[in-house]
Amino acid sequence: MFPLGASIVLICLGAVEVISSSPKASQTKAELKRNGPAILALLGLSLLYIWAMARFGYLASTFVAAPVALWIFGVRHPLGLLLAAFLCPGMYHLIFFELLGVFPPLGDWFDLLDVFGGY
Amino acid sequence: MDIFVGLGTVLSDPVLLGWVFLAAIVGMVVGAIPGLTASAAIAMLLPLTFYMEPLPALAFLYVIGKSGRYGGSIAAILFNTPGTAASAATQLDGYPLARSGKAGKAMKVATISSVIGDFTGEILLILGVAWIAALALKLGPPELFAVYVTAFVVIGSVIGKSITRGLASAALGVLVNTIGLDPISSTERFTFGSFDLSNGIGLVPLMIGIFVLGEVFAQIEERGKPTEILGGSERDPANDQLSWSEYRPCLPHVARSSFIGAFIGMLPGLGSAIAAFVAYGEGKRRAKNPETWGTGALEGVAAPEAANNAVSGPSMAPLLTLGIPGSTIGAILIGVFLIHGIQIGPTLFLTSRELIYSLFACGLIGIVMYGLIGYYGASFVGRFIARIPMQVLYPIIFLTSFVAAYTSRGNLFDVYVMVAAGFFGWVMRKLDFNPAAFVISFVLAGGAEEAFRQSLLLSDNGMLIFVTRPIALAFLLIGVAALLLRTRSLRRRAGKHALGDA
Repeated sequence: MFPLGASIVLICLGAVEVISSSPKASQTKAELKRNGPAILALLGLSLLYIWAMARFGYLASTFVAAPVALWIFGVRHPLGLLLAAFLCPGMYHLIFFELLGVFPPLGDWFDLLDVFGGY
Repeated sequence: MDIFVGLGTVLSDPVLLGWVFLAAIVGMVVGAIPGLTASAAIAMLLPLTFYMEPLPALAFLYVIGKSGRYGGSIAAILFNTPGTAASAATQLDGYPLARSGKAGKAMKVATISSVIGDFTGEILLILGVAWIAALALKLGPPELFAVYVTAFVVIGSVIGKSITRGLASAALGVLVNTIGLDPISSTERFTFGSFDLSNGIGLVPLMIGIFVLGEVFAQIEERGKPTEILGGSERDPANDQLSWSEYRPCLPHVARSSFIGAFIGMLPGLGSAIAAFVAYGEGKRRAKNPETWGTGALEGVAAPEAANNAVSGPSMAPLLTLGIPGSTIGAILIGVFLIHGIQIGPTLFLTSRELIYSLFACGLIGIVMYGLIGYYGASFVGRFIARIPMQVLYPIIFLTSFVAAYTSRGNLFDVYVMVAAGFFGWVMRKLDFNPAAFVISFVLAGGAEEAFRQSLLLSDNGMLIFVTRPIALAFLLIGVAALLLRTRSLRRRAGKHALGDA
């Protein structure tokens, strides 16, 4: 209980200081207003990407996530996005799941690896 | 003598030398990319090393840490953006030199100074570490717990702008570490009935989240900002050459800064950035030409570069002898030791002596390699990085962080942990909390809890055991003194600002 008690007290101290630092807080709010949508989009993509990996496997989820991530970072070139959609899942699958031999996350609902007959 | 055996082992293994060479290049490139740190690269590459032998795995990551610290100077000089926090002091004189067409000269000074600083730190580590380990073997659980408490206090209070936020970050790291099963009674703590949480929070996904995904979140705010490279087209080849008469005035600064860096490196949590600024300040104070510092003095590049690289070796001393990481890179290396079943701490020099000295040998060879690559190729690395579009690089890093987090244990829950840690790390930075203190404390907490509970089992007087044993009490007093000194220095600084405003 001793380390836990000390931790909670210190977290409270940190929270008190965050509340008391108003000039920085207003600056942070302005930055958040400007970049908030992109950050939320990236966070949303992160969560959806993991969910999609569990449902549709690694290849199909990365096929969608790669161009979306590039789009969020400002890439608009259609050929670049298309290349990313094919190259990223292929390269990562080859390096991590083929060369390193890690067992890939298989989709519960559908998995492209079933189609290709790999697993 | 052990180091010569280690050098023999490494030099006779071409594959190992290949890994060291690759690490020297990877570290330099990653360190030179603004925003991306050696810690991020090591965290991202950590799962790959699970499939390697222990020595190549450790050497690969250790040398990335070394050359990454040096690589930061390339971005500081060429882009006016420090590649790592440790090279922010280099920027003060490096960028003015680049603006006057002497980028090549500045980078050569940075390279030589980094190599000398790194060698000094590494040799001090090699000479002193076994001696520290022998001393550490005599420490019992109460003394070890006191060392842990001092490390928490120093790490939490000395890094960052605010003591309370730093200590809160450290405390949060301890709290998150307690998630899972109690190590003695196996009762569940903060698991909320989740089976995944009963295994605790994984070190690797947490680190990938904080250092890699957190940086991706931070970089999304920087998207669209152009990067200007200096020292490119219109430079005079004569300005790229460095003569002995130009470097000679730098040598006293390099020697002093190397020892400053090595000393700061031994203290847990302080790290390269503090060493670089202390060395810069001390160098300017003692310089014959202090008025030129900040406007493009070669000595102003040499001093911080020697210091920030001298930190690298000695920062391994608390990790290897006590199991206490002195830096974020040290905290990540703990993961490699654990995965390969190597118990770090004072007994490491009894059980894995050859491995450790071979690792030091890899460090020495890595310094030579990044020194040679940097001396002749730093300008090329700078131009190569300027060509990498950041809006492509960071999405690739984003996708890599997911597959790396999954690879560590083949578990999608770890990927959720990584995303939560990444977002949380970004929020911490926005609010001036300290992610490094959080991670290092997370790593320390397990050992601290074990030492705390063993001490209480040994004690007849409960908590009084920590004040009745002289060495434990001395360590606790060091922690209190560090806290008081830091409070005093922050108050002085606030007082100066208030006077300045008046």
